Amino acid sequence: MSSEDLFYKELASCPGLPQGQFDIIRKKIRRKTVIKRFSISGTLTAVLISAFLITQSLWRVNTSSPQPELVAEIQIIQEYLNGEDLEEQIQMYAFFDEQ
Amino acid sequence: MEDLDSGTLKKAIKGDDKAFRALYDHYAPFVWRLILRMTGEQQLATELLQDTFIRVHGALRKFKGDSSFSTWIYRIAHNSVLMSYRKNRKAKFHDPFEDQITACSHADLYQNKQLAHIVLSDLTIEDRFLLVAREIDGLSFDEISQICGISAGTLRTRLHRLKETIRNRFSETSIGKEAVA
Repeated sequence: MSSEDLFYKELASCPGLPQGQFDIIRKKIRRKTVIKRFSISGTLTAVLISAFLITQSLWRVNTSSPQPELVAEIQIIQEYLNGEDLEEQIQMYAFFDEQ
Repeated sequence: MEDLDSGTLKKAIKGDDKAFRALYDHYAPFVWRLILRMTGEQQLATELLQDTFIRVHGALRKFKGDSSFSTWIYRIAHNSVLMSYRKNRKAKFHDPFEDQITACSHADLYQNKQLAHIVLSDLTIEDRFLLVAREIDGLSFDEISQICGISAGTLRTRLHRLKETIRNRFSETSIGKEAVA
């Protein structure tokens, strides 16, 4: 047998598969599956909590009442636009004229 | 390499534990030999064998049957070794059974293993893969091409040169003569 043939023969002959590898693989797969499920449920929980908080804050914005100063300003503008303040203005100018 | 029967394969894809065990029993020896011959390190080869089958388990549902299952599993093993190699840059080939063969009393056996060790240590990781896949496991060039993404023609040329290099290596040095003497 030539040295080259011996080389290929030696290349083909391989030490046996180490024992107990399948159990290790199965354990690792289970661990990976648990981590995967845990991370998915964690992500889902985080998304749900975020969605809840965002909804809450939006609801608060919609239901909150404006500040009194702002209400007064809006009232003045509304009266000006509707012409409701005209009578009051005329009376005030009349008062100044009398003086 | 003969493929596992399609019934067991389908069961394994559906998540049957026993079928996956059968799949492991069928393919692990081939995967083990490939990885061990590519890496030359028993500890690393054991880790990569585990890594390969974890990947196989995770990707089973993605197997479409475009290639044979053995080619598909070979590709995963090949990629695992290459990824580990790129990460660690371990180019040095170490025969895992050097310690065992040193203790071996049979001189011829020792010399044969020493011979294989010396020649393998000079080859690149891809060359070792090509040698094992083609010369030992008898994969076709088309199958090897599917695994490593190199054209069959290039692989054919590369193997021819590789075998020539090995032949020259034996003739240049006295390793071969010593081994067979």
